[in-house]
Formats: sequence, structure tokens, C-alpha cells
Amino acid sequence: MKLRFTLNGQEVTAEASPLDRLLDVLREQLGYVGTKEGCGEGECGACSVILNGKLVNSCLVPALQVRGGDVLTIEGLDGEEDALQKAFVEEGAVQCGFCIPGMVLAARALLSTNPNPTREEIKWALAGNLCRCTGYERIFRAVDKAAAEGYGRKIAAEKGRRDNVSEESVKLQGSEPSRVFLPDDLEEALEILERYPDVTLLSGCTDFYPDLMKGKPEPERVMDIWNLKELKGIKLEEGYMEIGSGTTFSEVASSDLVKEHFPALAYLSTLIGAVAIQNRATIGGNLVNGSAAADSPPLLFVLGAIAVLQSKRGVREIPVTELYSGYRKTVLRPDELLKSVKIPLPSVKSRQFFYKRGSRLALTISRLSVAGFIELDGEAVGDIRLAAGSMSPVPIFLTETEKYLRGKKLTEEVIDEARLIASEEVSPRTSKDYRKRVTGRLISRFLKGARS
Amino acid sequence: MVEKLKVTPTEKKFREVIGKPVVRVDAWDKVMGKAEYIDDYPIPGCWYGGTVRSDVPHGRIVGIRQNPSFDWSKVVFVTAKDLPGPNEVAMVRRDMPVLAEDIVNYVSEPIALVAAPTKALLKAALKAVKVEIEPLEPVLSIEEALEGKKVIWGNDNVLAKFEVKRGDVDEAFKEADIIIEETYRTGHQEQLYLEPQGMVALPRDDGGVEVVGSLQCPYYIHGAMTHALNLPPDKVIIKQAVTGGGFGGKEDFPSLLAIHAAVLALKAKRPVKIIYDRAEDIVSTTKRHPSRIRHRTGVKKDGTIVAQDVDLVLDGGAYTTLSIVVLQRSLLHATGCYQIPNARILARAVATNTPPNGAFRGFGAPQSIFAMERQMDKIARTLGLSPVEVRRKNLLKCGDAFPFGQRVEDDGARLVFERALAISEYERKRAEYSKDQGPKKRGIGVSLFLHGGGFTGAGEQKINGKIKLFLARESVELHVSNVEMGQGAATVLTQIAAQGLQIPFEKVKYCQPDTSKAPDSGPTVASRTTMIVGKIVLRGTEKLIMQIKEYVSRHFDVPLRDITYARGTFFENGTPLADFFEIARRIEEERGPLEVIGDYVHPPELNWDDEKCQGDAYQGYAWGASVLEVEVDTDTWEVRPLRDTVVVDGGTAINPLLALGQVEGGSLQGLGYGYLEVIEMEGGRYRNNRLANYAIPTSVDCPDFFVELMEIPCSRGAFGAKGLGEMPLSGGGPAVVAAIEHATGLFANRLPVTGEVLTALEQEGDERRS
Repeated sequence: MKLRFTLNGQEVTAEASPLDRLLDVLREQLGYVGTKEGCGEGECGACSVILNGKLVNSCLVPALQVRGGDVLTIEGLDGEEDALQKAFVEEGAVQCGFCIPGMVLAARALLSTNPNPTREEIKWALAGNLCRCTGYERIFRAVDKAAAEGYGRKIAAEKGRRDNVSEESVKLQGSEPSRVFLPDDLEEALEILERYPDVTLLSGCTDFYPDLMKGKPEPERVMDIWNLKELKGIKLEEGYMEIGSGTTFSEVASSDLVKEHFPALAYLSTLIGAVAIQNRATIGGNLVNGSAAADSPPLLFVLGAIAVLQSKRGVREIPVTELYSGYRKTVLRPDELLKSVKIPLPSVKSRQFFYKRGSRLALTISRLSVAGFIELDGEAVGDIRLAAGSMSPVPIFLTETEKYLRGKKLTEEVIDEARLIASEEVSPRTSKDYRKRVTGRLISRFLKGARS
Repeated sequence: MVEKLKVTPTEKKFREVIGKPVVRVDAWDKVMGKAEYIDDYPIPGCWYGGTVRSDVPHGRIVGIRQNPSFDWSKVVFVTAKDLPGPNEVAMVRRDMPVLAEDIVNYVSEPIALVAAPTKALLKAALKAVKVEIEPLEPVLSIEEALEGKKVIWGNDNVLAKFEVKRGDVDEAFKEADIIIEETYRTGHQEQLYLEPQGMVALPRDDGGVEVVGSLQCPYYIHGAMTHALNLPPDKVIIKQAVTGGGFGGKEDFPSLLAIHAAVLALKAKRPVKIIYDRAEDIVSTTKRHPSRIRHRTGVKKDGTIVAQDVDLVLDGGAYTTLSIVVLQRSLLHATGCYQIPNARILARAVATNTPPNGAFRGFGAPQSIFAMERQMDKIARTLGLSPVEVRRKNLLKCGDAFPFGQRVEDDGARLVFERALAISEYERKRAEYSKDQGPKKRGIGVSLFLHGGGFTGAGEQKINGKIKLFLARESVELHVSNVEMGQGAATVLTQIAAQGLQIPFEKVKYCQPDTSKAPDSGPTVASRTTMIVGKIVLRGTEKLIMQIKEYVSRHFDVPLRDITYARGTFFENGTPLADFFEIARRIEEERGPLEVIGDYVHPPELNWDDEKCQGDAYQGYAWGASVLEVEVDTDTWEVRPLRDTVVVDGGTAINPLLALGQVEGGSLQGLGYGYLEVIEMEGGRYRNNRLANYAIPTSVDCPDFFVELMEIPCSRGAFGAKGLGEMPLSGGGPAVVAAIEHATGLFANRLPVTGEVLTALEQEGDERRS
């Protein structure tokens, strides 16, 4: 296919195969080799670029999604005139340099939305960009310095300085029209899905490319649903909130509505990968891919969320708990897609909880996760739902613990007993003792917090 | 009388650069994305190379089958039978084959190679090869190897063995109030340079081959290539591309990779590029040696050590690679920064059917220092003393001797230790954190460490490094084989040359290493580049100035003894005669460019006995102390490093900004080693084989660093520098484990200290109590 997009302020044209990554097009087609590949699965950030104003891992973006878009790579920065690059040089933030193009862009993305970040905010904003040389200290100082010099305000003022793609932004060639589908709206997408039930849907692709790396065969047909408006957005309706399946975790994390009604979900969203992943990973993808380590399912289980499935034939709604038929298998019919999730609004006196434990603090895959929802009836436990993730093919409810707790007053003894029951309810295959103990303790932490 | 040349303003431009935070010479290229790493090189007509690997840890190759439905005429296929020379990768030994021929000894061992014009075709070709292997019983652990029931290497699986003795340990144990015994274990660690391994080989018209790649030691590769390809030295050229981190991981392994690329390129008669993806890089390249170190220490009640017995074993993996030298360094750092009057240290490296382990920053020292520092904490815990007190009692002082006989020449250990304790407010915080309530507890731990700079023993004499200075019209080119891989060598060596020549920093050009131009100044390893190679550069500058003086003497007809040189100008009895570059132009016009070789001179006072492992093991010791504060969530066992106060003596800091970066980066790698970085083995396979499951510290897992450089000069290093690059890594592991111990009360005798390890310790405690 032939693609047109804006690269560093200028219109470019590139040839790409349907599954080529933006990284491949930049490096191999266009010769922009400043963008590096360190892992190919969104785990290092060396390939970070800014796409339509947002930091992304270019190894996880299908080039076809960049049609008509706006890409900024390291080559597009001003060098000696650029206060951020200058700060990196002067503060000694550069060693081997391989992470640096991505790191600079991650820092730029941060400063464009938060011109005066704290040290803690800088740390979280750069968590998706690994550096093995510097110990990060000089990098933090460089970002501080550029911030102090007003870099964030300066780049905000520069926005909009780019070519608009003049002609058609994508042109499929040869057999591509029968293999690559780029619907304009949901209606068209559903028609394609009905005609080609084997078509693979491409949205944020944060699992799609890692799966290919791990040896999953390339799909015959693909359909891009990333831009479908009908799948995006967060709405408050009577008694529930509806989140479009194509809503990214960045959008969920920053939504005031979500923060107000589902603080646990907002918190969870900040822990999905790091910034570049959150800018691409969608809540629908996280649910439908059905990875055992997915973060949102346990919480959506306990919140009583409903999955809205749509096909040409109509809409059906099922509880998220019934979405899975096995490991990485869902009950979606071949012509259906997940349109949205509806989450019933909790009462003000309820409490919700999510905790994930990975191998490190950020950019980490859950080794275990715990989600909880509780409503106290006076001092006694009323409604309670507890779930644990990452220790079984699909999240499980801790039904014994729930049963034990119902109607009880949350005394120290009751909480301690609940801890023991919970830790026996999970059956992880590896690191058993550790994961069981931590599960119990997190349940205990949740219950203690719910008391106050 | 010859007219006198005008003195140009060069003189004014010379500035002192030693000890100055000069901006790195490569910083702008890197920050602008212009630096060319090997995968960025545009090479027309280049094919892609790939590797067929073993999927069993031990077995006999029965057959290599090429699927006949694949069109093999479109690609190049190579097995051991097609190799042009001996099937050996020449390193310390020659026990590792270029391609496994009969027996495979580890999972991921290379068996065959393919080159293809496109990546897609390469992938298809690799899929069309089936290797049939009849499995043999593997040896998968240190214990199995020592047991010797199955022999996979030599007669007894022992790759190397050394012993050091001092005094009479058994006799001294009788005088001890208590003998404290513990066995420490450390796991694999992956270097995880951000740029994966990569190499391009280009066949030459003369039948030779040129290799460009991501590498640390051009002449190691040169030696291995001439041997394996049966080529004379002048037909093999090795060039370094900008290298995205090495940390030892690009010290030994690239020899194998370069041979692979070259064999393919010679057969394909065109350039071939092999770039590993991350998964292939992690599963097939060398790691830090896992270790098992048993300490028995005889101590007095007040904490004074009277004797120490150490039994140290490293897991070398399937072949020797550098295990002999790694083991030596482990042995020589086994008693850390402490004065041990009676010592016996037995060190062995054994072979297992796991991927060969090799060089990684610290090179055997981090394992040893972890064990020794933990043992100090154990002594403190056992005797009810503070970790600080026990260390203070036994610190090496100026004039004390190591168990192998070398005398300590400064009080660096004490100075860095006391300074780190003071500026971190260790005592106050220790007391404060002990009072923490609730599930989140803070802890503070201290570690003390050292690193011997340069090659061990007679290593520098054997290498006998040389550098070349080339006097051009407007600059002086510096040709060395020591590479820039992020650590700052290009900048620091430039500073040393500029200062030595007293010309502006900008006038010295560090040239990207190329074996056809640079002499062998030795490999970029052993924290030797600034200290040892810097000194060789300095000797080169003295020689160059002397030769120019001789020219000036002849040219101006002035007696040599009347000529002096300072800050870019030659003087005759104090009167300016000529400017450095004016003379350079004259010399070039008259007789072509001048070049000089700087060479190594061994300090005559240093002696080493390789057989007995006795004597002056290193040319100088750098010292470091780290006080680390952590927060541990005792519900989840999550650890967050908060602050790391590190004081190091690395001798003169040629470039303090770069030195700080080395200390911070090395410390963080050490922290990762201490509590995060896990490689679990399952049937000889690494389970943590991707970036998604091999966790290195992110920016959030990183403490705030407070680093202070204490500069005790060492006469044997350039301008008083000591080796600094590796040392900080040794401090992180023991410091984080000690801090976790303070926060949780749990004493771990292994690293990494993961949630699993802490859970197991907690359960042991529960069982003891019940």
C-alpha cells in the first residue's frame, strides 16, 4: 500500500506491506534511522515517536494506521536550538545513546502536557523508556533543566506547524483490497466482519505485535478499527457508565468521570505498561485478548461490568464474567465485536480496590492482581465481590472469602480469617507460596481500608 | 638563519581539561539521532544472516535436514563442514566451536547458518532446517558438575581452579570465639545493553574480510577471525560501529558472531548482516556467572576477624570463554575491603550444559563482594553488633596486605566508608527507620567495595598495549583499539591526549577503532581504558612532543636542550619559536605526516606470580561505599529504592561528569542484580527470555542518587586515575539486600532477593517460631 503522512512537519509518501510497523517504514523505507529497535514488543521505548501528539512505541503501530497522521521523530527536533536536547548534552544524560532518541521524545511528550513536572512525575513519564547506562539521574536532571527553561510552553506554542496531507492518505494495491479493510464507520466494519468472519481486528496492537514476535502466524485478513468514533469515549448514562471499547487507558486514566465513579479503574489504567502503551492499549483490547495477566478483567468482574457485543444482526449484552470460554478464548461470535463496556454506578458508600504486583514498580506484567468491591450495611459487610487475576487462565472470584465475609463485622479477627481463606482460594502454578500469601494480604489491606 | 614562525593564537585556546566536565565528543550525534549503530548502516546489496540453534541442553547431532521443498539456491547455507578453518573460537582457550558438529552442549548453541537476500526469505529458510538430536544426560547445576558423575568437560568438569593461602587458617580458627558459616548464592545476570548484538561482514577483493559491528574488543575478534578463517592478519579488518552499550556482553561473544557473519559473507560473496532480535540475544549470549560461595569466618566477640576460609565456585556454562580470568578476579576480590590475617580461598569454575557465561561489568567481583559483604552483616547479626562497627574493625588500612600479598597503598576504604556514612546520615536514619509502623517499612543498608584496575597480574605486560598518534595539519588523530560504548572513553582519552599535548581539546580527534589503522592497545575491559590506556596515550604524547622538538631543533638550528614546550608553543630559552600546528604543517610538507606509537611500560615495582596467585594483582584499587535507603511493602514484598548515597575513590576523575554517570549507572545495575533481575533455568533453558519477563530497573525503580567523588590519585594511572567503570556495580547488590534486611528483619543469603525469596525466609521464620 501507498501511505501519505506528515513526518517532522513535511508530507511523505511510503510503500508498506499491510502489517509493516511504523518503525519499519521509518527506518527501512524512509531512512529515518534515529528511531531504534531494542525489543520489538513495547518493552524498552527505544523506538518511541510522537504520533498525533502522543508518545507511542513505533514497533507496535501498524504503518497503515499512520495514514494522514502526524509523526515526529528525533530527526524533527531542532538540535542545538532545542533546549531539551541541549539539556541532555550538558547534563551528561547521554551515554551509549541507544535509548536517547526515544527518551528525548518521551521527555518532550511529558513537557508538552506538563511543563513543570515533579521528579516523581518525570519518573513515571519515562518509565516506558529503559536506559541501562545512566542510572537515569542525569536524565531526570536534563528534563528538569529543560522544564525550568520553559521548554513545555515553547513547544505548546509551536503546535500546528505541519503540512496537511494533501491527497488521499492511503492507497491499497494489488490484492490488498481483499485483505486489508479500512472502514470509515462502525456500520461498514460490521458488514466486513459479517463477510469475513476470520478478519483480525487491529486497534492499539500492543498485544498483536508481541504475539507475532512470539511466533503467532500472521493473519490473512486485517481490519483497522483504531479510528472508529463509535468505539470511543466515556459516557455517563442513567445508572451506569459506558466506555467505548476503543477508548485508550490514557483516556480512561485522565477522565474525570472515571476518577469520580471508578477510582480503582483510573488507577489501574495508569499501571498498564507505561505512557506509550497507555496511549495505544484499549480497554476493549485488554478484555477481548483475554490474556491471563490482563489487568482490567478482575476489576471489571467485581464492578459487575457488562460487555456490549454488536454484529450486523444486532446488539447483545453479557456480563463481563461470562466473556471468556477458556484461556485467550471469548464467547464472541465470529461476526461480533466488543462495542463497549457498561459499568453500573456504585453507591457512594461502596469501596473499590485494585492492586497489581508485577516484578517491578512500573512497566510490568502482573504476577498477581486483586480487585475488590464492597458495600457496608451499617458495620456489617453487605455486597462484596473479590477477584484475583494472573494466577489462572481467567480471573477468579474468591467466592469462599466472599461467603465468609457476608454479614460479618470487619474486626481484626474476621479480616485475618478472610486473609487466610483468600490465600487458599487461589491456585497459582508457579511461585505458589508467595502469590498466595500476597493475595491474602492484599485482601486484608482492602478490608482494612474499607472499614475507615 | 631560518625565519621565525608567527605564533598563532592556539596558545590562548589551550585550556586545562583534566578534571573538567567537558561535553562528550559523541553527545550531539547521539542526542540528534545521527549516530550510526550497526543496524543503521546503509550497505547496498547486503544479505541477512540467521542461526539454526540447538533446542536441547546436551545431545548428539544425528542429522541436519534441509527441507527439499524450499529453494536452497536462493540462499547460502553453512554447517560445520563448510568452515574454511578450524572449528574453534579462539579466546582464552579454543574449546568452543564456531558451529556444533557432533555434540551440542547447551540450548541455543549454533549449529548452522543461513544468509538470504530478504528477511522474509531468511525466516522461511530457517524454518526449513530440521536438526535431529539424540538427547544426552545434561549437567545443569554447580552441584552436578562438582559431583562429576557425568563428565562434560575435561576429566572432572572443572574449567579452572586457583587457590590462595595466607597464614594458618586452621590454627587461627582455634583462637576464634566463634566460627560463622554461611553459603551464598548469586544468579545469572543479563547485560541488557539496549542495542542488541549485531555484525556486518563484507568480503574483500583480496580474499579477506572486513567486519563492522557492535563490539568492545576489536583485536579479540581479529585474533578469533584469523584463526577460524585461516586468514593472515592483514586480510582481516575489524571496525567498530557506534555501540549501544556493552557492559562486557560485547567482549567475548562478538568473536563468535563475527565469525558467523564472515563465513556467510565469504560463501555468499556479498555483505551479510546479522542483527539479533532481543529474544535471540537473551537466550544465546553470555551472562554473569552464577556462583556458590561458602564462607567460614573465625571472629572474636568484638567482631575482629582472625581467619577466613572461602570456597568459591562459578558456573561457567558449556565452554571456557573467559571463565579462567573471571574466576581469578573473583578470587582476588573474595575478602573485599577487609584485613584478613589468615585466609584460605579455593576458587573453581565448572562446566554445565547451559549457555556459556562470560564477561559482565565487575567480572567476578560482584559475586565475591556480595558474599563477603553479606558475611560481614551476618557476623554483625550473630554477635549483636552493628554492621558499621564490624566493618570498621576490619577495614583494610594503608600498608595492610591482601591474602595474596599485595600491600594497600592508601586509606581509600576507610575514607569512602566514613564519608558515605556521614553524608547519608546513616546512624540517624537507621534508628528512625527501625521505628516504622504499618506495612510499608523503610530500611537502610551499607556496602563497601573495591575494584582492582587493569588486567589481573601480568595481564598488562602480556597485552603490551600500544596507541598511535597521527600528526595531521590541523589536528592530532588518536588511534586506539579501545572503544566508546557509552562509558565515555572517546572523550576521556581525547582529554588525556589534549592535556598531554597541551593543545585545545577540539584539536584532538579520537578515531573510531579500526584494526587496519589502530595498533592493539588491548581490549575495552577490566576498567583499564582511562587508567592504563590513558597512561599509554600520555606516553605517546610525550614522544610526539619530543620528536617535534627534534624537528624544531634541526629546523631552527637551535640546540635541543634550549627548546621547551608549553601550551601549544615551542620556546627557545623562553622566547616563542613556533606554534604546534605551524610546525605540524611544516613537517607534513617536508616529510609527510608524523606518527608516533605510545607504548606500555610496566611499573617495575609490581611483581606477580601467576602459578601461586601471589603478588601485586592490580596496579591500583578504587574504593566505594554505598548507603542505600529502600521502602519495602511487607504485604507485597515490593521494594522501592529511595536514595543511594555513593562515595567512590576512583583516583583523579578525568571528567567528573562522566565519572558520576559511571557511578550512577553501575550502581543501578548492581541494584537490579540485587533484587530484580531474575533468570530462572528450566531444563537448561532460560525461562526469562524476553524483555517482558527479564526486568531491569525502570526510572521508577531507580533511587535518587547522591554521588561524591573522592579523588586519591594513583601514580600508575593517567593523571592519577584509577579504574572506575566496573566498581560501582559491586556495591548495589549487597547494599540493597542489607537495606531489605533492615526493613524486614529477613536475612537473605542469595540474590536477587525477590518476593519469592522473602516469602520463603518469612516461612522459615514462621516455622521456627511455631
